[in-house]
Amino acid sequence: MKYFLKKLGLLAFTLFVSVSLNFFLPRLMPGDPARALLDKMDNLQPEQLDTIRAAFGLDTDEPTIVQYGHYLRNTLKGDLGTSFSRFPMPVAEVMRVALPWSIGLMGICTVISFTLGSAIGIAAAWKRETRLASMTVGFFSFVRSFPYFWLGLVFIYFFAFKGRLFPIGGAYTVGVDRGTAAWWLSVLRHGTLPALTICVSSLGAWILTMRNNMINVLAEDYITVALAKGLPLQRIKSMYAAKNAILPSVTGFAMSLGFVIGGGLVTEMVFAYPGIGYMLYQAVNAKDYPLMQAIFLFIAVAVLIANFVADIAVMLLDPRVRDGAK
Amino acid sequence: MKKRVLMAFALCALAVALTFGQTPKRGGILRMTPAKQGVLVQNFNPFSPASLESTVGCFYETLIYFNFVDGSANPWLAEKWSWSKDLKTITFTIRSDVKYNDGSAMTVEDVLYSSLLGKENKALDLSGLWSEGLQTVTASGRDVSFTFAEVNVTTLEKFGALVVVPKPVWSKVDPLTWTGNLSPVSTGPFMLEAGSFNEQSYKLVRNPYYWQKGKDGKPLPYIDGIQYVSTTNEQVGFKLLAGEYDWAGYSLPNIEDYVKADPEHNKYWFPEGNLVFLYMNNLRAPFDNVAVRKAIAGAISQRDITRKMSPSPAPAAMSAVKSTFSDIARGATAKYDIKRDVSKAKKALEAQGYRLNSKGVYEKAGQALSFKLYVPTGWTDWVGAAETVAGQLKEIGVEATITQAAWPDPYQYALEKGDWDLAISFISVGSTPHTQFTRWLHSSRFAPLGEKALTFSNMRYKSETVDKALDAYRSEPNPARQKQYMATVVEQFMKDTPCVPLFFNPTWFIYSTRNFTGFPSPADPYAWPIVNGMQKTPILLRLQKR
Repeated sequence: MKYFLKKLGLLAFTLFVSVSLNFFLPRLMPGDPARALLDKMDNLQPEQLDTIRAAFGLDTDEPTIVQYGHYLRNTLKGDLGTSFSRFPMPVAEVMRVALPWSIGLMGICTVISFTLGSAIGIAAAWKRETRLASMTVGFFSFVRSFPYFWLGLVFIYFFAFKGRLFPIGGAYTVGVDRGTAAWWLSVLRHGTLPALTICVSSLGAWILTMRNNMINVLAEDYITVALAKGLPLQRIKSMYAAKNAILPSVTGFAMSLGFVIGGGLVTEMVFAYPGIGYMLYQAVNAKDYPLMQAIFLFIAVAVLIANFVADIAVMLLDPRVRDGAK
Repeated sequence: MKKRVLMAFALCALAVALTFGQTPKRGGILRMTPAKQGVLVQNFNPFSPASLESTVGCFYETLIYFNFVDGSANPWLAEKWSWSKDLKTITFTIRSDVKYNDGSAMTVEDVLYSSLLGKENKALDLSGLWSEGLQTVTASGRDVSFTFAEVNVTTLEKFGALVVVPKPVWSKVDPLTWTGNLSPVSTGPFMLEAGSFNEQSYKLVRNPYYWQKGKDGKPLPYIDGIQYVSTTNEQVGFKLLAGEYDWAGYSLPNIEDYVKADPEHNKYWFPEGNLVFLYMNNLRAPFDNVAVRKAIAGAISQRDITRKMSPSPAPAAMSAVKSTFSDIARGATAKYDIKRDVSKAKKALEAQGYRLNSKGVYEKAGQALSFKLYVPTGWTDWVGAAETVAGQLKEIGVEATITQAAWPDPYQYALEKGDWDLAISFISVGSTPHTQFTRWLHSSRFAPLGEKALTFSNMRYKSETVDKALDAYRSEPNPARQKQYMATVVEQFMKDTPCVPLFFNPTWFIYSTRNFTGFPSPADPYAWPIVNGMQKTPILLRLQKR
């Protein structure tokens, strides 16, 4: 319980720090949001900047610390403000549109590659002398080194542009009624290539970590003892070796869940997938503080909570932590 | 027999004339790229600086349409206008046949309401009329009069950005922050197809009440609607090649591949956009010396710069005016044009007392002609151009070291304060040379070193002759005499060579004539193919199904 409370206290503290950093960091960035709208292509005039500043509410004389106070109060109330780059849309509304797609695509892919990668890693370590095992590990280490971006473009070129097996981009077929079976089917079809890109390039990491952990654990004395006792091999593999070997991966998995939000950037750019990673990138370029803050806040909260859950999971899985916690 | 053949021929010719000349072909959904990449958010508020580009031009319309290609003002929601004798009041006659897409009539009251919004709230003054000194707006019958504090006939252009909204709808909300304008009640040729808006696409359909009539006597537009589908720079090339767009406003480095894929239909036109120039700080030595500035200009070959860029933008002339306005620069060009001539440029520097040092750089009194050349970070096309410029300068013994600086800060701020010697900069050309040169050279934009100028394009240059001519233009409604004033400005500009014009940023316009005809092209540049605001509207009204 003490362990649990300690972790909970730490969660609250880190949340506060990240919320505060979230306010100050974007403001340390040089440049102002009205000017960011001026681009080499635009026909906007310097005189119009004041108009835009007035609209954004940037013509305020409030000291930063007062603004910080407002920000803390509004954040607690759940009011995330109004986006600049999509003015006058509320940030919450802008995020609501993009979040489900990011969580859907990246979330599912992260879970798939973690599960699949760990399973392959376990098998590869267990049968590490076989040719298949070393070939699998070799193959995925090779694939892992492809740039994400490039892999996505290659997939589009062969499977969508030349092969016409999948659509070039987007999240679903334009013009199909949302929620119908045909629409869900088109979501699957559109999601296949992005998902394949993400899984193929991230699988390698999970396989390698899991395999290395597993090999270390297999060299432990208690495994030898278990073998000597004549326990069934499957039991040794899953209950004695894998259960311990997966602990570091669980923490890694929790971390990677946090990157579900921002990590989709490249996929969203290449496949024009309507997610929040690309939106964050645009918000940073446009100096859209409110939107940036909200997305960073979301990421911070997601990472912190995922870590908290991972800590609890490790506590449940690992008797050493559990006993130490008593 | 012969007669009958002739008759048949005549009939055929008549039929051909009827199909191609008289009856326009209606129908078809035009597929366009939205200006915003990534997630689309339903924002059709014309008072928002971040609204979707269909808001003005597809939904909402303006009093006049100011054509950015030839700088002409054209009747739109107002059928005519005239200036008062003292040139301080302009009176527009509002069309009486304009209807909103719900069938109700647009009233003079709506125009009055829309015009007055910017008076109370600066943030609603998107046309900039009130900051231009607008004093009162009054209505009488179908006439609406605008009275200004000072004489300035060029404010006419700003009415091309005065959006008319229905008062009954907008007076009930706070126009600036209203997010509920999901299906705009507006006068424009298109309206939103109900339920079509989502995060990656939306569809417009024709407004059945649209006030403009086609050649067949039925309401415009000829096309049935527009389908916007979101894409990104990274994949738009694939989509274009796969024939998924009829009109794309994106930059595409390998544009020739697109054309090669279907030379008959796949086309592009990158008309001259904003002017990019080599900025020289006219208040800092050695650029305070006109002979040095001219020598620098003599090192530059605009053609060599643009040839190395992909796709190639249009090179600029030393007069800095767009090719469509080149007639005003004819006299000045004959007198003061500077062509690349390395030996002449070197001789000019030597005449100023510069001598080559051991590094091959000209030097006078221990001061070498060695500078940092600033470019906004990551604007790769410009960085490439800067490299060519630096190479050309090196040939005349001037050293320019390319230094990237972040946009907008510190780049804009440093230029506004005049901290840098050399930079690649730009000026928005607007609709006419007068707009361009006022924004650029008028002394109201000038500031001494260290003080903040109104724009980063200010190169610390001013000239009484330029000021006088620009000011005189403002009180001269006669276009022929306006031209003369502009010729004076351009002549002084070329004489003083305060900077070196390099090239015009391309306006990205990639299109396919597979499904539609009537796009503007270099052969028929009837409108500026930019997706923002009213410039696209005449195009959307002219397009016909193939």
